[in-house]
Formats: sequence, C-alpha cells, structure tokens
Amino acid sequence: MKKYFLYFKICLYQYFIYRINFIFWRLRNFLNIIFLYFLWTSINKTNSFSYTQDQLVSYIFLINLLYAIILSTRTEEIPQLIISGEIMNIITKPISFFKLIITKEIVDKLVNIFFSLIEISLLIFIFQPNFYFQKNIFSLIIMIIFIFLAIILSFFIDLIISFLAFWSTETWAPRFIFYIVLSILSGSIFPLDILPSTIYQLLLLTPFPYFVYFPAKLFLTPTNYSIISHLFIVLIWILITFFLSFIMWKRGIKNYSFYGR
Amino acid sequence: MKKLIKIFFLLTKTSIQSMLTHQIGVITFLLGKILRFIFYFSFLFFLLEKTKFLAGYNFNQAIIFFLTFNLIDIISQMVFREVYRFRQQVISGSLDYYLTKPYPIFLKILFGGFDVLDLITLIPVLILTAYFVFQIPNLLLINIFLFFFLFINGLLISTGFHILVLSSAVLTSEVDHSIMIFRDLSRMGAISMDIYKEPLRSILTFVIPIGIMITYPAKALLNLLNLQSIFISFLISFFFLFFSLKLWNLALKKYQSVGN
Repeated sequence: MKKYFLYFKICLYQYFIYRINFIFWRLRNFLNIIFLYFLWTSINKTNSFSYTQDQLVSYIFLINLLYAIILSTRTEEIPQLIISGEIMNIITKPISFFKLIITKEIVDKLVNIFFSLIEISLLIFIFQPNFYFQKNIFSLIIMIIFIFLAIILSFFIDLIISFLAFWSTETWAPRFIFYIVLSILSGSIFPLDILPSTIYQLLLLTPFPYFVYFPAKLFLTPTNYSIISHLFIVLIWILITFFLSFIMWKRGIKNYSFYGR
Repeated sequence: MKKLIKIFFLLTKTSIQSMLTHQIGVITFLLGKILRFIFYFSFLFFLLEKTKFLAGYNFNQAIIFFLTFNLIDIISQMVFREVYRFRQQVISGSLDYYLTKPYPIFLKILFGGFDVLDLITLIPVLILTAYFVFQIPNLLLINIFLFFFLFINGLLISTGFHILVLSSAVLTSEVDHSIMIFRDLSRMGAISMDIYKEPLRSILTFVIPIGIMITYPAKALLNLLNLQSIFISFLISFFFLFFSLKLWNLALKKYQSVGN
C-alpha cells in the first residue's frame, strides 16, 4: 500500500511540473463553462423545455463537476506504454499494473474535482446565478450511486479503447470518435431530453447518458420514473465492458510484441 | 514566388503521403469530424425548434453564424495543421534545421502541413452554407461581397492567432494547450457574440478579436453591420496581425536551441 501512496504523490507532483501547461489546461475548462453558461442564459425564459432557467444554469455547473468526477482520466497514456514496450517495465516489477492505473485515476479525478470546484465557485461569484437544489435525500443518494457506477463504466470503456494498442498503433482514432460521441451524447452540452422522444429513449439504452446527463437529471428533477430499469441498463453495460476489457487484456498480453527500444 | 509555390506543393505532397500511411486513422478521423458537425448541427436544430430564437436570431440566422464559424475553423485547420506539430519540432531541435533553409520559415511551420482531410469536410459545409445564404430574405450582392472580404479578414486574424501560438511554443515550449485554447475561443463565437453580456462581448470582439473573425462576416451577410464597424474590423485585424508578427520576431530573438 505504501508504494501506491508514493506513486500517488509522484503523480500529484507531475501536474505542477509544467505549470503553464497546467494553467492553459484549466483555462480551457473555464472557457467551456463560460460558453455554456451564456449559451443557456441567452435562451428566452419562455422556452418550451421542461427546465426552468435556474435548472438549466444549475445543469451547466453540475455537469462540469460531474465531468471532472466521472470522465477525467489518464488512461489515454496506456496505449503509449503498450506501443513503446514500456509496459514491460511495469508488469515485470512486483507491483500491480491495474493498481497503478487506478492510483493515477484517483489523483487525476481529485485534481480535476479540486480545480473544477475553484473555477465553478469563481464563476458563481462573478455571475451570481440562481441555483436549483435537490432537497429530496432519496434522489441525492440515488445520484451518488449512479455517479459511482458511471465512474466504473467509464473506466472500463477507457480500458477497452486503450487495449486496442495491443493490435494497432492507431488507438487515438477510436478515442477521438469516442470523445466526439461522448461530448454530445453524454449530455455535457445540453440536457438530452430536449431531443425528440424516440431518439431520447434509444439513447437511454446506450451507456452515454449515464456518464453526465443522468446523474445531473437526478439532481434537478424528482425521481418519479423507473430508476430500476436504468440501474439495470448501467449494470449490464458495466458487465459487458468489464468482460470485454478483461478478455482484451488477457489476449493482448498473451500475444504481446513490440519494437526494440 | 514561383519557387515558394513549388516548395509549398512539395510540402503538401509529403504531408498527404505521410497521412496516407495511417489509413485506418484517416478514415476514423474523417468520420469523427463529420459526426461532430452533424451532432452540433442537429443540436442547434433541436434547440431552436424549441426556443425559436437564440440571442434574438431565428434558426436560419443562427445557422449562418454556425456555418461561418465552421468554414473559418475548417480552413484554418486545413491550412495551419503544421502548427499542431510545432512543439515537437521545437523540443527536438528540428526548428534549427528549418531556420537554416533558404525559404521563409512560415512556409514550413505555418503552411507546411496542408490537411487534405479538412478539404473533404469543407465541401459539404460550403454547399450547406450556400443553401442557407440563398434562404436569406432580401439578400443583396453587396452583402455577399462584404461577407467575402470580412471572411478573408477573419482568416487573417486566424493567421495572427496561429502565429501567436507558434510564438508561445518558442517562448514556453507548450503549444498543445495554447492551440486548443484558440479552438475553444473560436467555438465561443460559433453562435454569435450577442449571447454574451458586456464587457465580455466587447473583449471577445475587439480585444481577442474572435467576434470580428467569426461573427462579423455572418453579420455582414445578414445586413447587420454598419460601415464604421467594417472599417474598425479591418483596422483591428491589421494591428492584430502586426502584433503577432512582432511577437514572433521577439520569440525568435529569445529562442534558445535545444539541439539533438
């Protein structure tokens, strides 16, 4: 456990080596919230959405935080480890590769959450928007459960994309597609229920809405719809992605080869 | 000049050949770009179907802003793709090699990576833009001319931004996020600067001239610009480009070769 804690500290320090890079990275996040905030506040208050403007504003800030908690990841570094052969340096040592990856993920999420909270607080201070708060404890508990499940689901999907590096050097391409689909279908730009009902219902069968949209929805509206069926869908996706990533790892590492260094 | 054009085509040919060595990546990348456009277009469609107006603009007007943003964004990426690879050239020391070449350095580091994939995505966006432009009621020829000139003006501002990114890479060796910050800033003009409140609107229009770069050509097309604004926009783009070139010269003076 001590060695993973040491690795935790090293990962944390790494963020602050390239300070300008770090500041630019956070600035991008900041600009994104500003854009979405003004986009949604420019919409006339008499819109035909099922959300009030307070709820829409709360949605923007909430999805930013949820994105930091659920979708921030460092797994995009795994393909390079596989392609360069550097992964051999890790798996031949008396440490667990997956525990290292999980440690890195925890650090990344903590850093993202910390800075997202600062940025959101700063924007709240500047714009002083009206917030909607969910007072129903049951909804909040369900939301936390869904956040936890979304973290697991997102981790397994990221692993699947990363493990493609065992068979191809071009893993950036599927990751690029995944992030494009994710940017829209996860609800990180708009609440998905503004889409036509049929598209919306079909989307709920995919993993994407459960990353950001669904936990945010639980915070903003009372849970009067079938939670069990959605829970069932997420669990099915977790099982599928877990087995797929497990099989890919087993087969990939069995036939693993890389160019000399 | 003839020699420079020949070198440009030679660099473009090399860039295309290098790109075609990653065929799966190329197809996926192209698919991703098309998907992204379809997604954002559909989002605007569904959004405006419910709200009818966005910052006072109807669907057709908002789409004109969105398409103008896409045209400038795609052309900038197509022409200035090499900027995305510049950091590697700085930290590996390759920049020294290019600096000794007997042709202008920008030919390699700014224009040297023409991206043919963006040319493919540009064509449908151009067709779609033409379709929506001719939907504008009472469209005058002068508005089309103004759109064209302000569009070129927008591309000059985009050139200025890319030179700033190159300068920042020489000064700090960190270009990855600065080019993406430019992309994020551009996206802030994707709908119209009118969604922002003052003073942010003026900052984004005149100080960081994203508004002039993206929103002004569309506004000219919709007959929403006065002569004074058009004049100011040309003046600002001139000073912006001048400033970015000055910064580049300063960056080169401060440049310390890494060596390899």
